[in-house]
Parts: sequence; C-alpha cells; structure tokens
Amino acid sequence: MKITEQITDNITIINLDGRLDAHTCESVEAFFREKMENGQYKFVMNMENVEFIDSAGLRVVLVVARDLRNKHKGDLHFALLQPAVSRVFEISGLNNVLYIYNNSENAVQGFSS
Amino acid sequence: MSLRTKLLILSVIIALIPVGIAGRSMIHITRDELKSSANDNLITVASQVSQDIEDFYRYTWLAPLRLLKKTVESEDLGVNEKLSLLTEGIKSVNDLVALQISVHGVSAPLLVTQNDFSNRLKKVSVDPEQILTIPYHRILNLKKQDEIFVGDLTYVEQVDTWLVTVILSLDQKTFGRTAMLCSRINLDRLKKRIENHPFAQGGTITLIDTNGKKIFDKNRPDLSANKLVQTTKKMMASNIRTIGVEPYVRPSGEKMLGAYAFPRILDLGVIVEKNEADAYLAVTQMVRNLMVWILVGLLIAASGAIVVSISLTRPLLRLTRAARTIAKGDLSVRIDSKGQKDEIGELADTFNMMVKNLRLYIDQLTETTKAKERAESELELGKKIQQSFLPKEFPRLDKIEVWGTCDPAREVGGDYFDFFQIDESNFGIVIGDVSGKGVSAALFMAVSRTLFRILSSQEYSPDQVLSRFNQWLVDLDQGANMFITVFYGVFNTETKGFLYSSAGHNMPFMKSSISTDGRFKLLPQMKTMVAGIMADIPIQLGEAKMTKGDVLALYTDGMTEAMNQKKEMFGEDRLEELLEKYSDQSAADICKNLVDDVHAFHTGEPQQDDMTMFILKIL
Repeated sequence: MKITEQITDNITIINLDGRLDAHTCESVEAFFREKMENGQYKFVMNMENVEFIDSAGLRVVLVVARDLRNKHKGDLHFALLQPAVSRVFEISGLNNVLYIYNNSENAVQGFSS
Repeated sequence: MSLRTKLLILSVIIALIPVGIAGRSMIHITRDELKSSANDNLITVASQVSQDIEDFYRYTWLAPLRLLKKTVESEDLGVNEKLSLLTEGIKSVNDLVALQISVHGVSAPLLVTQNDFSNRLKKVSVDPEQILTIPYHRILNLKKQDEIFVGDLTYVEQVDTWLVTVILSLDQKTFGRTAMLCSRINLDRLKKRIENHPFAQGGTITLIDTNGKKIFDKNRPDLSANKLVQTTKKMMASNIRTIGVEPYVRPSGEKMLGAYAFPRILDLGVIVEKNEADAYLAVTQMVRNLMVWILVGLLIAASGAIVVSISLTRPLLRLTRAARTIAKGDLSVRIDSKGQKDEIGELADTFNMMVKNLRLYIDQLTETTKAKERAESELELGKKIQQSFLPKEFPRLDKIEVWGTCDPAREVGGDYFDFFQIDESNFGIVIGDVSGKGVSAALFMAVSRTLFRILSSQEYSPDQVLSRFNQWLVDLDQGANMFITVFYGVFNTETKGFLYSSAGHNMPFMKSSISTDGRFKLLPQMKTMVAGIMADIPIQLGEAKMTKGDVLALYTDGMTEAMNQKKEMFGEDRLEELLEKYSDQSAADICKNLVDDVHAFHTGEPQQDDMTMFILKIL
C-alpha cells in the first residue's frame, strides 16, 4: 500500500494505491492517527487506485470517519470509488453514512457546504 | 598464512635488515683497515731492515773508516805511527777484519788484519792474507769513479762469514800517486741483527742480491722462482728503489704476503714475507668476533621482533577465539582488556560491548518471538472458539433442507452463520462477518450469537431484531471498534414466506418460482449499514415468497472476493452460474461443490478470507 498526501486549504487529500484489506489497513489507520495527532482533521481519501476493500478495510475507514466526526468536528470524504469498492460500500451501507464524491475537487468542496 | 605469521616474518625482517647492513659494513671496514695495517706492518719491517743496513754502513763502518783515512793522509804522522794507529783502529772497530792500503805502482799492498779473524782463519788452515788481500787492479775495477765503493759481498766458506768491501780513495798529495784505502767488513753482526728482528719469529726476512740469490745463506740458493723476488730483481735492474707490498702465491701453493725495500748503499733487496693467513690472522680473528657479535645482535633483534609481534597478535588471537565461541552460540564470552589503553584494549572493550548488545538483541528477539507466538496462539485460540460456535449438524426437517459450511482462512476472518428454530414453523437464518480477528473477534461473535438467539426469540420481524442487535452492540461500547455485517432472515414453513433484513451484509441469491421467475437472483439491495458502530442505523425489511423446489443461498464475501493469480475476483456472476448448475443437488452437496470451486479458482494464491455458504431448499 502506497500512501501519499497533499494539503490544500487545511484539507488533506490522501491518495491510496493498493488493496485496502486486513494486511494493509493497520498502516492506513496508523497514518491517520499520526495526522490526527498533528491536528489534521479534514481528509479526502482519493480511492482512484484502490481496487479492493474488505471488512477490515471498511472498519478502518468507518472508525476513522467516526472519530473525526465525534471527537474533532472533522470528517473523511471519499472520492473516485472504483466499482468493486463502490459495491462494497453499497452492500455494507457505508454509502449511507459516509460522504462519497465523484472527484477530489468536489470532495474538498464538500467541506464548505 | 595467519596474521601472526605475517607479522612475525615482517618484524623479523625489519629487525634484521639494519643489523645485517651494519654488521656487513662493519666487517668490511674492519677487514680493510686491519689488512692495510698488516700491509703497513710488513712495509715497516722491510724499510726498518734496509734502514738498519744503511745505519750499519754509515755509523759503524764508514765513520771510523773516514777517521782512519784522515789518519793515513796526515802529513804530521810517520809511517810507524800510522801503522800502529791502523792496528789500533782495527781493534776498536769490531766489524773491521782487514785494512789494506794499495798505492799505484807498488806491488805489495799494506795489509792490517784483525787478530781474532786471522786466528780463526789460521785455525782452519787458511792464509788470511790470501783471503783478505784484494789485488790493486781489482780494486780499481770495483771502485771506478765513485768516491766510495761498497759491495763485493763475499762468503768465506771456511769460517762461515760474509764480508763486504768498502773502498775509499786516499789523498794523492800524501802518496804522490793514486792510493786506495780498502777495508773488509764482517757482516756477522748485521746478519745477527736481522736474524734477531722480532718479525723473523713469525715471518721471514730475506736479503737477495741482484741475481736473485739469497744472501746470508751459505748455499746461496737462487730464489728467482719466487714471484716477489722476480719483482725485486726487476726493480734493482732498472735501478728503481721503491718500497712495495704485494700478495703472491709461492710455487708450493702457499699464499703469502710480502713487502720489499732497498737499502740505498748496497745492491741488494730486502724481502719481508709472511704467510697471508698469519699476516691477516688478526683480520680473520676480528671478523670472526664480529660475526659472532652480529649473530648475537641478529638473534636479539629477531627474538625482540618475535616477542613484539606475539604480544601484538595475542589479543587478536583471543578475539578470534572469542568470536569463534560466539559463532557457536555462546554469548557468555568476555575479553579481559587487562587495562590496556591502546587500540587493542579499545578493540577488546568494543568487542565486549558488541557481545553485550548482541546478547541484548537476542534476548529481545526471543521475547518478540515469544510474543508473536503468543499472538499466533491467541489467533488460533480465537479461531477455535469461533469455529465451535458454528453449527456442525443440521436437523432433518420435513419441509426444508438446510446445510451450511464455513471454511476458515488461516489467518484472518470472522465469518458467522447460524440456523435455529424460533417456533414450530419459524426458522431463523443468520449469516455475518465480524471485522477483526483473534480472541476479541471470537468473543464479539459469541456475544452476537447469543444476542441473536435472545432477540429472535422475542421478535419475529428481522428489521426489529437487527435494529435492537445494533443498539446492543453500540451500547456495549466495546472500544475495539469492531463491527459485524449481518443478514438475518426468518422462513415460515407454513406460509413459505421469507422475511429478511440486512445490516451491511451482501444480499443472498434466491431461486424462487414466485419472486424471481425460477432463476437465481440477488435479493434487491437495501438501504443498510453495518452493525455495532453507530446507533439508529437504517434497517429495511424485505419479503419474498418461495415454493417447493426453491433455493436460498447465503454467502460471505470470502466466496465472491476470492482472487485468482490474474487478480480476478470470483465474483457474483460466477457464483450465480454455479448455483444454477448445482441447484438440483442436496444442500450439503451444493455447499461442498461451491467451496471446492472457489478453492480451485484461487489455486496458487492464499485464501484471504473465510468462505461461508448456507443453502436452504424447500422440499
């Protein structure tokens, strides 16, 4: 799993590359925890290069999003979900509680509205 | 070659080179110096001897002869007085054995002889006058134009005496014509003096005449075969009177060192010679001594070098031995640096530090490994607990046939399914997937299972059960942030109605001749959310009608998301096709075949997730 980031207007865009599963989710969660300790609470997760997500991966994004909302008044927005991932979001119902956008710009703007 | 050997060789060479060079040049210098001093010694002896001869001539013979000449020439003295003075003179000068005055035109010369010598001659019946008188013509022959003649070496065999003749001219005024004072001188004293020269003890002093014949030897042997005599003869012949020294080999093969010199007054050569070995004895001895000392020096240098290199390499050897022990796994090794403050001591300290750290690392590693093993055994334990909650046997029922199977992945996963009877005609079917692993996930599942059994006994409506189930889990506030996806359905054997709800779980396939035109279809997706994270999640209720021969197939994503080597997922379409293919088989066979097919699909790739299938067939 490759993780890169860019920060615009206090919003951190995180680009993931790889599978978000039981093997990689710990490093993703650790990455978020570190950013949160640095006071970053608004994130856009660019999922363009994530082909697969499993329940462990779901747990991480869910937990991170919940903690950002409940503890820091922040949030985690998603952009560019690939079909397989999108389907998992749909089945698990995460699309009902998480904000999902068709591109990063919209996901960033989502924080303003 | 070991480091120690190399260092030994190197330091010995370094130690030996200067000693060797110094020793060699010392030997050279000493040998040259001693040789030249031995040569000088020979030259000194040769010139001493010729000087002795000159001194004898000048002071012992010539001085009294000149006095006598004056006496004879004196006009104040009469003949008798002169004669008595001559007689006295001959007595007082030891070496003088005869004095003769020859006057031109007078046939009989005046001869005065030394009594002792005359008596010796008479004893052996030799007439002294005959032996000692020199005829006037011979005197002239010898004398020629010289002022003084010295020479005419004669050996008087009868008395074994060597004589030399000295001739001086007398003043013509006294005699009115040419007159000569002719003297015969006994060389015994000179001979003895030469024979007694200290050098004669170790070497030989030889006098030769111009013909190369030996003087002072009654046989008068010709020594011309001797190379040095040849040189001397040549020099005398060409009237070169220099002093020289040269080594040469005698005809006998003996190596000699010889020097030569020439007295200025006599035509003879002084040859001084010595066996070269004797002459250079001091050289040989000194060289031998030097050799011994140089050898001792070399030995000391070499042993010094050996001691130094051994003491230098000893700590290294100790290090090597210690390293070898460590390599065998014994980390109790320590090197005593013995308080050495140099690099070796530092190396020993560093080494000890390394061993200490190594031991620490290994301890830590052991600890980590143990922890990992504990974690693995916890996973294993969790897996076992989890598996124990899954139904293994299914009741034989009149109206339905059910079968479920769960094939756990080696590492992760938390699939869950259950089948239970709620009342006479209602049967509950649950399939779920806990996110998380290990004992905590297993316990979470145990709680879920228990909750389900309790909640389903109080409530028929699956959406209500799931809502309350979610509420319970959220209220547990388990902190581990685990959640569960659940599909829950209730089948009524009387009405053959199937009521269902989902909390984030994938929808099952149903083959229903009423609801899905007799083919396998996914039940329509609902607005849903995984359970255990948030309160008040949206849960919908669905209903389907089934009839005899219809099939319901529940599964977890471990089935559809299994990957092959091309990174393709097994997928719902493939599952749907296979369900269609196996739909006539028993529920157990369908489960088994599907799981086998998925395994065949992901051959070469590890199983990523638990795979669970549950089949319900209406009989």
